Amino acid sequence: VPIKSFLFALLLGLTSQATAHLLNMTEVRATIDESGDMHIDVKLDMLRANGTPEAYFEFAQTGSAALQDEQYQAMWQKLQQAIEIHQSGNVFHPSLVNITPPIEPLSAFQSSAAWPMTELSLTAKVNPALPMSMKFRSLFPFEEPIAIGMANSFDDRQRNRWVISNQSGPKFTSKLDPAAPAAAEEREDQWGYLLSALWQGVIHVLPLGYDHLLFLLCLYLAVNSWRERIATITLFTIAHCITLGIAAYRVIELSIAWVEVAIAASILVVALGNLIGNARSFSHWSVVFAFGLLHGFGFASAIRALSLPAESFLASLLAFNVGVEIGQIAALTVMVWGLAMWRRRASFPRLSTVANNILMFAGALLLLMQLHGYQHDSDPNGFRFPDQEHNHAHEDMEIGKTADPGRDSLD
Amino acid sequence: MDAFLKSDLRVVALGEVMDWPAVSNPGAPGSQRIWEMIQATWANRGVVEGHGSGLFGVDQINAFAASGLESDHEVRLAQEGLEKLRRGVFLEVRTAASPLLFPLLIKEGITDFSQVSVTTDDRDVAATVELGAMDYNIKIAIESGVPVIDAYRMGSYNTARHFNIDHLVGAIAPGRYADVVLLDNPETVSIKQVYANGKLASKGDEYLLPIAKVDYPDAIRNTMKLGRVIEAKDFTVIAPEGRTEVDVALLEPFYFKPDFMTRKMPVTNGIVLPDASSGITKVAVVDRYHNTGAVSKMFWRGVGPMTPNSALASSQMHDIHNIWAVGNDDAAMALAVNTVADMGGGWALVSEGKVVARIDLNIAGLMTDRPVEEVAAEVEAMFEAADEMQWVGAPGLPERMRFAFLTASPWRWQLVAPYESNPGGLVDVTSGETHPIIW
Repeated sequence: VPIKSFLFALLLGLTSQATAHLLNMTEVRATIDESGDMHIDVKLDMLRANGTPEAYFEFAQTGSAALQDEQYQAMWQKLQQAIEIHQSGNVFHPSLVNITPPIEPLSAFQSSAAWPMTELSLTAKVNPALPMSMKFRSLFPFEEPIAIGMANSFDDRQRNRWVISNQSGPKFTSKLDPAAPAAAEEREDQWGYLLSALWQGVIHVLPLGYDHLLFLLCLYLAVNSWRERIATITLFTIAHCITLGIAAYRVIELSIAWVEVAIAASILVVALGNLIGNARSFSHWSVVFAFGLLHGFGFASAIRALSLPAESFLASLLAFNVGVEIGQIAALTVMVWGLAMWRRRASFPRLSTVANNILMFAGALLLLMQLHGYQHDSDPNGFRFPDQEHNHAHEDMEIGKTADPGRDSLD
Repeated sequence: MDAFLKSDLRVVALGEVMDWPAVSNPGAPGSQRIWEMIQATWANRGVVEGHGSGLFGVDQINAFAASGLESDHEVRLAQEGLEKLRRGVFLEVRTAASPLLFPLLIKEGITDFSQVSVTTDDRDVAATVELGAMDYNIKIAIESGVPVIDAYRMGSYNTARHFNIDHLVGAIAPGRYADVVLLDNPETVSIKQVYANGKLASKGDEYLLPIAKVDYPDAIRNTMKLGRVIEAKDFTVIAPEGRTEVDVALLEPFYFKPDFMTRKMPVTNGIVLPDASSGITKVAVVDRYHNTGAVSKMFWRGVGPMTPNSALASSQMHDIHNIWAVGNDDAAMALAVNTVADMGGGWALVSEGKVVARIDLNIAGLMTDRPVEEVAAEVEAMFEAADEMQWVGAPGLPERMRFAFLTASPWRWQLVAPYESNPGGLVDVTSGETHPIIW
């Protein structure tokens, strides 16, 4: 057994590594001082940069003088170009100031169980108060993973993250001064997110929420007194806020296609109710509330597509919701104004019937569209009639009649 | 292997045969086992995938090709890739290798890329979210000079053909299953739409469908079979009676030397305590398969939290995937391990006695079916929480620990979960020799 173990140990030294890509990973330590001097130490396996173990060994023999050596200038140029520092939308490159190649025998360079590492020192000038990040481009063959560590010499801030080439390193911010530009930029970022979430809320009612608006109009036509109208709309709003939150937090997830179908059906139902004069039963509080819940789920797909930032998820969600309400108020203003003028005219009762008929027809059409569209499209905002794709979908359905049912599910 | 290949058509290959010493040396431990698996795969017309890391000498490449290992995704050097391709090895090229390998292949006049594919390996969720997945692999291949059509084949047809499933997938042709990507510009891999199972799945990079609902059986979701709640005392190292000082065995991440390190440590009230300030922490492995909650533990150096009452635990522990923990306090280690177990697997970081970050990976304790943004946010939160702490050795989350418990070459002494003849868990994985953790 001992002889066998010995032979095996010998063998181990000659054979492969399970995890070479961890043992020769690139290590980066960047430190920034108060005056903005950034020092970057990189530990790097330069085998691939040199091409062969022999070439890497030859390079190592040059020692620190390799930095000035004519032969390696192109390599250093590439290396500096490949290291990027990102700050305030600018990209700049550090300068190489020193190199320390490994001092090891040729056999170590040729071995697959040793990884001679070259140490590089680079410097750059940055604004210590502003957020910054580093990126290592695939222009130079860095071994992966690249372990980036960034730290300040003046506070205990540090950021560490493994990345691969072309991937952004961690965003590093100093604690210099809460009122410093760094913090202001962060806050700007936050406001930017909130404003964009608010705007998304508005446009998901006007014009993307046309089905939502049709339903609002139905509700509006269903009741006659101001008190009832305000109460109905308020109840409807509360209900859709509840489900919007629930869906955004993924407490309950419904298939968006079927939610859209149900919303179309809700228009049809309330318009029908208005027509057959049974408006009260179809706009009864509990029904309004239930339809409100349904419409909230309708906005959920929009919320998900926004991929709100995790750190300000609730704030962004609220902003989106406020946006939805702004859109709704804008639409209601137009409706109230238009209908108020109209109500004074003698033609109102007749035209109201026509309007309800149109709404019912629109609801029915929308319902058919949604049901039909569900067969071959899943984009909740897509208009599903024209397009070549539509014909293809039908061809597919014909084939589908003979194909296996597995085609219709993702599992 | 035989049963898997026979019972499920989706099993097409034996993946990543990593233990080259066992494959190439009939006398090596595990040699018979690995060859039985390879033979069973071939007997069922399966593909045997290789792992040719560090095999770049001509003799080694010849031996690798001769052994019948049919692919390599570990090519680093351009010349190595060329030689392997010339010997019939199917290259699965990672993005890190592309910029050097492809220009050489083209320079050498290679125009037939049918034996080449592009792949990822250990790609972090943040990298995938930022850079992409197969689209990024194809893009890097094109940027490295591969003709556009060939680059797309590397991401589809070539792979299907390599695994002998090109009659099912890999091409848009009658009788094949295909998800379809429509491109604005094939050269920049600019995606316009993706159709998955005949449904519009994305516009650009905006995913529109709900995540496919897969009803994983309980056996897949509930894999943290600890059988009990782990307690602080499970991690306590008790000294032999009457001693004021003991010898302890010491390891560190990626320590391959023939013998473990040793050190003398003081005994306090009959207990040996870690000493994070001098770089000594405690590392434990908790059995998560046998409902025993068996715990092995020992002292390591160069890794772990310095912040008091802290620990990190994870069920990602290549390749056995028990739960490992590293910490400087027994209660913190118990909390971290129990948090991982309660989630059904994942990562848990405990700082000053409180769970400050967790990643829920409740499919086999390794994966999750939650939305990618949610998982990516959890991962980033863990890195950030770790950056708020002090660590022994390299700063930040010691992510490398997930690979630190491998029991294959070149590892020697390793901590594994306790087993009948080795309740301490310290073992030389090349010889089976065991040793107590203190004496």
